[in-house]
Amino acid sequence: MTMKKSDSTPMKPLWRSLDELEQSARAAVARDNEFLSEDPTEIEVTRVGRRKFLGVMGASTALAGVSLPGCVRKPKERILPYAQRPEDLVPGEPRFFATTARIGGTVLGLLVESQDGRPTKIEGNPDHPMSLGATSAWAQAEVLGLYDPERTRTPLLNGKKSSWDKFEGFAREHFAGLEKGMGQGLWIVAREQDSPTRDALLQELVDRRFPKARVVLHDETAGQPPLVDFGKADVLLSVDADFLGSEGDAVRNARLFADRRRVEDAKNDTMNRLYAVEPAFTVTGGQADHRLCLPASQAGALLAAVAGALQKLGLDFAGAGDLVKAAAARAIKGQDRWVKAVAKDLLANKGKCAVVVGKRQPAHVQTLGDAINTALGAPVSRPRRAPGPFNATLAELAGDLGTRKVDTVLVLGANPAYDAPLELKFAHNLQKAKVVIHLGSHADETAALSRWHLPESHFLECWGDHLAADGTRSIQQPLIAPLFASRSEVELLGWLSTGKRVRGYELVRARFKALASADFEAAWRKWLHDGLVKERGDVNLADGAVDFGAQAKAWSAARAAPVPSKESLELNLQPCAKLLDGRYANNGWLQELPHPVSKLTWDNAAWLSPATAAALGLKEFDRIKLAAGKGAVELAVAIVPGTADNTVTVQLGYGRSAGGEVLLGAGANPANLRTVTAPYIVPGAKIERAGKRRTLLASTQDHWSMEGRPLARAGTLDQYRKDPEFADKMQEHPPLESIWTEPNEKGGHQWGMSIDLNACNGCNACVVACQAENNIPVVGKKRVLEGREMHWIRIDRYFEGDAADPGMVVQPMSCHHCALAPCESVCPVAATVHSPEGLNDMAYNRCIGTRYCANNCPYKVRRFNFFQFNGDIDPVSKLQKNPDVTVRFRGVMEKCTYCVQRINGAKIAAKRDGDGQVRDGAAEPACAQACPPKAITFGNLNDKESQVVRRKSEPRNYTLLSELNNKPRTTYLARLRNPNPELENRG
Amino acid sequence: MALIFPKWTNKAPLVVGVGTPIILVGVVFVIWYWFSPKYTDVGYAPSQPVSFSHKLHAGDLGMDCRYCHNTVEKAGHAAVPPTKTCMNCHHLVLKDSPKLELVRRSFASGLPIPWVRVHMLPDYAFFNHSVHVAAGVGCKSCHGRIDQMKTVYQHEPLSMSWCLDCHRAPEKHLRPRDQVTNMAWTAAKAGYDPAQDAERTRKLEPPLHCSGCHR
Repeated sequence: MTMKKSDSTPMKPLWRSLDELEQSARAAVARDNEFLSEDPTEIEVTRVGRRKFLGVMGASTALAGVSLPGCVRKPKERILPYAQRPEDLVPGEPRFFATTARIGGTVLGLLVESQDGRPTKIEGNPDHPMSLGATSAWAQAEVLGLYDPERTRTPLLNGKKSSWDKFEGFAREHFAGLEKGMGQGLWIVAREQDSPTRDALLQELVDRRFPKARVVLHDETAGQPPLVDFGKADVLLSVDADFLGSEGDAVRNARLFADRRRVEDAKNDTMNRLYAVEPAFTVTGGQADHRLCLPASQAGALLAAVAGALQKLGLDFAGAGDLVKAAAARAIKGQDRWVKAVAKDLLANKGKCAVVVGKRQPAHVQTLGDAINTALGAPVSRPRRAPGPFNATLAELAGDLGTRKVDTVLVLGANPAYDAPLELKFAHNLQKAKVVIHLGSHADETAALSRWHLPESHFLECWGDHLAADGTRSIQQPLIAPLFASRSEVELLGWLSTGKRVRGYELVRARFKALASADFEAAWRKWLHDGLVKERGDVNLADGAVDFGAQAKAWSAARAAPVPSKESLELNLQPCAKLLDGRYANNGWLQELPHPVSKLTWDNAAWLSPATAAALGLKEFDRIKLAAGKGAVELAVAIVPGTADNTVTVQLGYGRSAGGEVLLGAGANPANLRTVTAPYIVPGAKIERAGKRRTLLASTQDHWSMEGRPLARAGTLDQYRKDPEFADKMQEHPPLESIWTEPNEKGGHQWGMSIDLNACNGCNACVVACQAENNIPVVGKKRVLEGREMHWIRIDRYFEGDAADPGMVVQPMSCHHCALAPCESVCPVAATVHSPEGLNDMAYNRCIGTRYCANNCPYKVRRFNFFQFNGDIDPVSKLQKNPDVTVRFRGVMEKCTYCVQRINGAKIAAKRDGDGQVRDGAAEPACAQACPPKAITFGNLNDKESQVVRRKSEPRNYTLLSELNNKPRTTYLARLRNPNPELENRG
Repeated sequence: MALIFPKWTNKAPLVVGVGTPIILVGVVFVIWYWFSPKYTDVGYAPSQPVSFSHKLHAGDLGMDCRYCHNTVEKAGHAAVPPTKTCMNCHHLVLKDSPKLELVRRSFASGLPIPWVRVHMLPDYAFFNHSVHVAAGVGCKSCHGRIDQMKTVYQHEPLSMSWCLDCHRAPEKHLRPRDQVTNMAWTAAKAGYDPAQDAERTRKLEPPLHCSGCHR
């Protein structure tokens, strides 16, 4: 394999590993040996040769023999107790605190684990309506963000170390000058925070000191999509909406959606039905019962056709009649069968159905969705919030910058220099401002153009508050004092407003005073403990009136979108399911996380459908130049089935150029291709080959065939009703006999897991949760290319059916804990052995690294530490490690343990405080706890009342590779589809 | 013709034949004895920054272990007490003693006293005090007669085989729960049989598998 350097960034290699971040000697070797040999075992890792090493080893052994006690004695260790231990703190015992954060467009209530004062793991707060006890992959990765050693540590003045005192000295004078002009020339660029305190302080700052200041909201995740009660919807039409993945309250949506797909009783239980229209696969499209693959620009026209069909079928649109009429004139042609079937199904389920329109769609399409929902009586509300202090757009700011009307730009957390559309020339224009002040966690692209860059506190370090889409308030409670000299956005705004350093605690607390009815102190403590505030206060979430008339005009005015062709492709920009808009680009866990659909790590790519790639003469990994409007970007091709023909899909958030070592060289930035009017769906894109080169992309699954074996099993609801045990019958085998004696596993606790493929949507929360809980290292793009990623749980993604119009099935895969485990019988040193509770134990200190076990594992879930990934990691990163799990060293095998540390913790608590029996739910692995749709169930198989026994006794239960007679403890529940009979028999 | 081999070589087979087994046995013995925790670890008695005497406090004064190590019943660690615990008494007793200078300084400054760890387990072995105390394993079983130690030293090897000896046959090391911290208590003296103890409702099943301690 040859690692070539990218053309666009000639100084940076295409891949980055944590090794480089650490600047270790090993990394230096790897850097010097750029052209690595084909055989991974030949990679030189240290300058110490083998012969030298043996010599040194011999000498040290001899020395040890000579003076034993002195040398063999372990190094002296210190115990440093508190001088005064805080009340309630028990050293070594984790404590949980409720807090909240706005992550990926949704406000999540969180419970954060604190190990001796270090937050180490984030879980969902079961009482919070937006998290329901689960979290997203982004939320799981936030702890790594907290301990990112590349966060800015002190204020920077023109890139040089400075201090808050110096900043305050400068700012006091500077802002006093601005105040004299009522804030003329002051621009503030802020993110969406859904934080009443932040918004109020910003408003106060403007009102009190700078009435002429302009405030811009710049955030990819801004804008609250409609709040759908998926628990009440039997039929759903998703129009380019990724409501289970990257849009809106995805964690809550995933749970409510999956709850309507649990069919325990084959005869009586019902299941919802999802129709999805989308240009490329998302996790939502993967769950669809019927998926129509259309260019995003045509999705509105399809919805117009559905609205027209509904009207024809007699649905009364009342005040929106004109809108529907105007829209119907723009209806899509040639999809009559699909449109009619959907319209009939929606109407038949009036009051129990909903249309969800993606936020990438223009306003008039959104309004049409609202009109349909209103007419159908859908369980949907569109919360309208106070608009906040925002009174300008980024385009206006760019315009004023261009004409040098801007004195000061204050950027609060956003990164417009990276993600603004090309036509604004934002990065260029920003330099025309007299002073730019940037508050942010990393010295990113915008910070590089700022005079002052101020370090921002992580949400686990500072006070704040959030307002969820349904009006639930929650308080953001810090778990740790700021690691660096950072301040929160709220504190900075407070200082700017009053000139006094007020702690965030006071600022937030002050806003809650009015909410308590009687005893504020008691109420405050209860709110902090519960993690949410039941009192509504003055929150007004009434549905705003929608101006259907204006949007009817917009429909009439909208020109029919050009149908994309081979020569003029349609570019489809998606917020990335891993890096979002680039804000997580310096997070190694998320960079190495396989994308739910493409399974790519460390890169974005130009997704093309197999047909389009063939028409353009392109193959996988071919390097192309993708041009749209005035911009162009170089990318590698990824052929992804289920992408609309003549469209090209690119993930946002890559190609960052500043803000850390991890993000460098990861993909290319497609922001150059967007325009202010077409931020996501850009017509007229062109592809040409960029030379003859190819770029290797690190995909964890380059193979999506099941090779004829029934691995992920799926059927239809009808099939299930006729033959409930259809899944188990898909694999036939003769009576099985084992040459090994089956271990006698009867009494006590017998652990087992059930994974419901009907609930799992492949969102990846489990993968990152496992990584956080079990100290799993990041290995870098190069190692992933060699197939050496370390994830203990992976999500296999299979495309099924017709290659031109495939379905997607995902299957989480981790150690199955086989009773007759093939790995155990081949270990020469008994490092992997069976526990009497049915666990397949892994004793790291016994392992000598033969890797026989990994070879013999039929599920390919064992992972080997080829290198000392946890060697000399940064002291800040070390704080994230879970003290209950061994940090593995080089040369040992590892794999899923069913989170044995949590099982043991629960057993110890049960033995200490009870009868020794672990109650159902007391021992839950990290993956099961994080899972938004609750697809993973874990528990004691001997406890007949347990959830896991209940799930395993469902008729859909099947064992993967049962013909091998491994008797695994993890089993699956087959995936079910609920197709509309009218669409099922395609002509 | 000169002899190719000198005369002493006649004895070589004998020397090699007898010597090799002796050397081999010697090597095995050296490793078996001197490399074992019994030799390397038992008796480890590092000097502490404050010459705290367990003999005086736990022995002569008869303080209960749990006055200082108060998390032992509810947590994995039997936490080394905070400086505050020392000062509870020593702000009245011996409050000017030069031996307690470091304690007073720590209390005033808030900086910890850097005690040296005596009982060290490898990082891949996870031990939990609370569950052992709950089962009625006495402090003495692992720590020895702390009440007679001026300077604490490691009394037992704390090796894996030593742990397993007890996990395989715990009966010999059990006592009533209210006698856990009683250093002088012995089963023989008290005539105690765990099988007859009515308060023991739960059958003890100490783990013998790897993940019981290695996670």
